[in-house]
This record gives sequence, structure tokens and C-alpha cells, in this order.
Amino acid sequence: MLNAIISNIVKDFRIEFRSRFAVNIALSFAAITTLAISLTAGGVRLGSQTQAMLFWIILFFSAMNGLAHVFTREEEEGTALFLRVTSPAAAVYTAKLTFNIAVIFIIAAVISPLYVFFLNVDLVAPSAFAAAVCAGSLAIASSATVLAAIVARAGGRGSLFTIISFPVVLPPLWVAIGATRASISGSTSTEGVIFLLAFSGALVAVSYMLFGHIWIEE
Amino acid sequence: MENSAITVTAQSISKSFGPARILEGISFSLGTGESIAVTGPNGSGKSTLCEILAGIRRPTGGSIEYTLNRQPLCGDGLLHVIGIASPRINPYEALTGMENVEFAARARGIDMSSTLPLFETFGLHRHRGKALRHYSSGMRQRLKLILAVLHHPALLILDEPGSNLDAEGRRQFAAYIDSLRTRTAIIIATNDMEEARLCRGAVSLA
Repeated sequence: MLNAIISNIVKDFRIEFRSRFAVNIALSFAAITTLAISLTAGGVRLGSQTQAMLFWIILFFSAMNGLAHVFTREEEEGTALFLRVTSPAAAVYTAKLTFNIAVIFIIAAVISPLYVFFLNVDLVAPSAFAAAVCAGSLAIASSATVLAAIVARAGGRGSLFTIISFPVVLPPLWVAIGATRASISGSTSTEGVIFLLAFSGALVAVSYMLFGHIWIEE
Repeated sequence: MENSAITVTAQSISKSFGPARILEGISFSLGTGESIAVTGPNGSGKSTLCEILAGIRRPTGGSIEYTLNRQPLCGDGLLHVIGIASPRINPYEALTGMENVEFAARARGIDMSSTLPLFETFGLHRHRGKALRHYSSGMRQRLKLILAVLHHPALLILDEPGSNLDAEGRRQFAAYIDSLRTRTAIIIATNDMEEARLCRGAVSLA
């Protein structure tokens, strides 16, 4: 099993490195949106609630296309059956989840400093901000991975994925916005972060158990 | 897997897609050293039957039992004993032939060095470093055959194995099947009588 997981992770990163689809599109979208908001704000410092909300809207919409691509690519290029005959379903899920977590962390790592700089965000508790961003990103990646598999198996595309995933991602997104707002205001409360980590853990456990049913063709 | 004895017993396999019934009451059994040609016109369900036998598609009705050295086999265990090549099973275009083999070998826990002679056997050694997008259709087919056999499967399922192969490729393929015959159970789905003659038994879906 470990061999299959490692083999799948190496393969996914190798293909992504050659096409740079997921990361390039996400980073371009994030940079353009951040600049657009910054120019629209015209140097006015926004409230912490608005800053947190805009940050997560940018991160969510930047990441979704890339996160879906990890499964839709397999179906569109006809390689899903090759994957099915070489790797156990659990290994495929674990590898895709790892890949998506890495992608969203890269996107978050690029967006966060850009956002703080261009929107004049005055971070009172930077470590709490980092924890909220990491936990929120983890929750989005956990939700997105299994939903991407369902959408890809149903023959759907990225646009459908963003719509379908929104109700599932809404609760962690809401909590992540609250935790980010608190960190910008200087609070070091960990309640939001704990909820996001618990949400991710529960979702990954359920997805891991159900993935075999999603993955095998009827 | 080279000395493993496998048996496959299919009982009343049926498959429907919505209202269309593709397969109905297919039964046969097969063991190591035996081979079956699955024949039938286009749309008769040959590829679907191959995918059901490989465990990557669920039948609507009926059952398939696998045993390896008299022990029942199911789930992920099938991945290590079944090899399949099919027009619907496509390796990665962005990777080279060698990288595709490396991926499949690693995923199955196979030593990469044991896979290198297969590139010679199937005449692909000069092209193993090329990205798949630069392969011809015949070269792709050769790679699909390598990927199907690289883990020495006890059950080998080949759907239209000779498609896009030139005369030399077909000769290499026939010679390879002959070399496997005593230690492998082989299923070939084809409409090519030359390929069907490589097998000793037959299942007709006509």
C-alpha cells in the first residue's frame, strides 16, 4: 500500500510539474483578484471582518479549479482505468488528498503575503493567522478531494465542482473567516482552528471508507 | 506470481447499462495453463466482460470467483494477480514509456530492473525515454502490453491485443504469449481469427 501511495504521489507531482496547470491557474487568479481588490479599495484600510472574508473568497475560488483537476484530469485523459488496475482505491485517495493539500498550501503561502501587503492588513497575531489559514486550507482540501472524485466520475467539469462543493465547504469556510478575523484583531483563541482540524479529520475518515464505492465503475 | 495457480469461475454474468442488456448468462471457468478467446461482433460486450473479469467494473448479475493456490481471492488482491490491456486503459501522455512502467511497477511493489527486458521483448527499448504523446499508435499498444505483463500476472486479460501492431509486433506478441502459456491463464477478446487461434478455448458473445 505504501509503495502505491508513494508511486501515485510522485506521478501526480511529475505530471503537474510538466503541465503546471493547477498551480499556475490558481496563482494567476489569486494575484489578479488581490490586485483588483487592492486597486478598488484605493488605499482605504478595510475592517477585519471584510479583510478576512475577502481573503477566503480569493483562496477558495483560486484553489477550487486546481483541486478538482486532480481527478477530472484522470477521467478526461482516459487514464482513470489505468489507475484502477495499478493501485488500490485507498492508495489513490491518499495520494490525491496529499497532492491537493500540497497545492492549496502552496497557493495559501503565495496569497497570504500578497494579501497582507496589498490590502494593508495589520496582523496583530501572525501565528494565529497562520494557524487559521493552515487549518482552513486543510479543511477545504479534505472536502474538495472526495467531491472532485464524485464530480469526475459523474463526467462533470471544474465549474460544476465549485457549485457542488460550496454547501460542503461553507461551514469550514465560515469558521475559517471567523478565526482569521479574530487573528487580525489580535485574538489567539484556538476554537476555530480546533473545529477546522476536527472537520478535516472526520471528512477524511468518511471519505477514506467510501472512496472504494465511488472509484469502481458500475 | 510466476508459479501461482489461479482459477477463475464465472457464473451467469450479466451486465446492463440502463435498459440495454449487454451481457446475459455468461458462464465459464479457466485455470492456469488454459486460454480462452472471447469473440463476438462489435457492441457484443467483449470489452465490458474483460473489465468485469479484471475487477474494475461491477456486473449487474452473476458472480466471479477467483482462487490463487486454492485460496479465495478478492478486492485489492486481484490487482497483483491480474494483468489487463485494453483500448480503454490508457497510460499517461505526459510521462515517458519508462516513467509509466516505473509508476505501475512501484505501485505494485515490483523491482524496476525486472521490467527492463520487456522493452526489448516488445521492441520498444529505443523509445522508452520518449513522452507518450510522441508515440505512434503501435508503440502505445506495445507499451500497454508491457504494462499488462510487467508484474507476471497469473491471469492475463487482453482486449484487442493486436490492434495497431505491425507484422513484427504481432509476431513478438504471439511468441510472448507462447512463452507464458504454461504458467498463466489467458483471456483474449478479439475479432481477429489469428489472435483467437492463440487460445485453446472459446466463449462466443454472438
